Amino acid sequence: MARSHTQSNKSYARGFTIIEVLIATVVLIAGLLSAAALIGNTLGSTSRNEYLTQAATLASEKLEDLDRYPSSDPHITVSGTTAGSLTADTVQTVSGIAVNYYDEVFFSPSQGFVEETVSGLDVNGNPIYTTLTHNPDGSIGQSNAAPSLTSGLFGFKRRWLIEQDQPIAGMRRITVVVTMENQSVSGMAPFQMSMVRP
Amino acid sequence: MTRTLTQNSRSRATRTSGFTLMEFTVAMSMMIVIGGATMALFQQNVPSFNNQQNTSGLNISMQSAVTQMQLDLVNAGTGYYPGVNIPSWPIGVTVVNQLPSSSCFTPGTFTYTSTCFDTLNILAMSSSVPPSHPTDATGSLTGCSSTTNNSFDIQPIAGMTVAQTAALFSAGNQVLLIKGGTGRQSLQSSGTQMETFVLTGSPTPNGNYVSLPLNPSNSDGTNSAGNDPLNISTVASTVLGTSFCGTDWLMVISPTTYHVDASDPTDPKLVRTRGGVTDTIADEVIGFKVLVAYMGDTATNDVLQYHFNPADYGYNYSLIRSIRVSLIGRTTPNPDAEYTFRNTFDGGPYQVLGSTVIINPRNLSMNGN
Repeated sequence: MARSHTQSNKSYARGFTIIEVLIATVVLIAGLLSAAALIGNTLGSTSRNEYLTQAATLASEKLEDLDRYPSSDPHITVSGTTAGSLTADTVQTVSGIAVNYYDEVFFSPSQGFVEETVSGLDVNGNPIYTTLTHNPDGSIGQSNAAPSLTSGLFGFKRRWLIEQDQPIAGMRRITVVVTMENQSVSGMAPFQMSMVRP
Repeated sequence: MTRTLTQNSRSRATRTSGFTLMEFTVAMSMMIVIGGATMALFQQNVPSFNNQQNTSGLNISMQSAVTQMQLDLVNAGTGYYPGVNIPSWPIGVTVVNQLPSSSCFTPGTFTYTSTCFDTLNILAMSSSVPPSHPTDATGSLTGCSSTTNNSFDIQPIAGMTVAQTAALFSAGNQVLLIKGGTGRQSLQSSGTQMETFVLTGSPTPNGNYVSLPLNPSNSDGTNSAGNDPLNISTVASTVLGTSFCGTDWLMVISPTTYHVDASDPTDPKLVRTRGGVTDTIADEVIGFKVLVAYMGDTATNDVLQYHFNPADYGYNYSLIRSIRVSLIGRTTPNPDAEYTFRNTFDGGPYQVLGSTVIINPRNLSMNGN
């Protein structure tokens, strides 16, 4: 009886074995890593949602912009069945005007559209940039310098396609695809939006 | 046996006794260290969390304001001629672009005055006052009236008496006059000339016509800002006229105005005024610019054809076809000296967010123009 109690006391006072400690540590680390991965995924998903919202806004903005032209304007004139492309940067000279069927929009990720650059090509195929900068005194600065993605800007490319007599004769369907250009952002799907106008 | 039982009792006593002073001290020390580290970590994240919350709130505020403007702007120019023959040129938007020559922003206090911000007027025609035609002091169907006089005469509205027509107008109404097309009832507009004035009193029924009191315009059709708060005719333009006749039209304007109320320069507010009611759309607005694209712009190399100076289109607001609104907001300035963040827009201790939107008012691009 006494021996039995003594053994019991020794067993009670004994600490964890190294195997138990290792297993517990592995389980703990696995749990923490899973939680960290979940947080990382959530943050990444939140960022992608933000970028997708920006892409949707830019697509809608371009469609609104193209809707302002009269039906005979070179910017929306179609000779043949289509004008522009959703997969390649396209520029055509129509009635003496360089009509870009793509552009790039750059803006600050932290401050939004306080400063915005839109790019395209001129009639000679040279790149042109228009940067509008809003100043605190209410003035707007305008420059034609090329921006750089390395300066931390967001860059989105918009391409659009104009289809004549779609979906019915006499109408034009305009489709815009917006893709993010920043290589550091992964998992961003292109955003596509269409409208129909005379 | 007795001894064994006694040992067991001691063993139980040892097992069931509390912590020793040493154990307790060690446990408390560890708890304080771990707790302190946790609290420090938490406190480090509090500003970040608050910052994120404020930025999200700012983003929502900007989006809401922009959406409200979209809804109003897309309907600019409605109500000209209900049902038939909508003219191709109606004026639907006027803009007061601020081109500041001196700073309206004080860097030390991060305060803004009203000259930092544009004003956007969205014009629609009143649905409660049908269009009427000008006339002269005899009430002739082909007679003319001039805005350079103290009163402007109109014929009774079709189907109404002179008294009923007079009762529809009241002091403070701003009206729009436009040249008519071929034929009195054609409901078409040539769009060659327009003019505006504000009724300075109640209309007077005069036999077979109604006299509308006004402050006379200048001979070139321009008016002071007081006589034209909607900024249609404050600067000379080729489309302004003063004489309008029986084939022309007079309509009451039902405007919606957006401007920034900077009466509290520490918290400029974007406000919307419609029907005499002013609502705050967004707080802490530090930028509000309205740019326009206009019909007949011949620029060939400008990839962003939006203008922020009305002189570019000769102050002829009827040419406006598309509007680009830029709104910049900020989070509430943080007065805490330990808050070291400074934005790169104006250097203030707050987050800044800019939003833009392009709106193409559906009524301003009719007939392919």
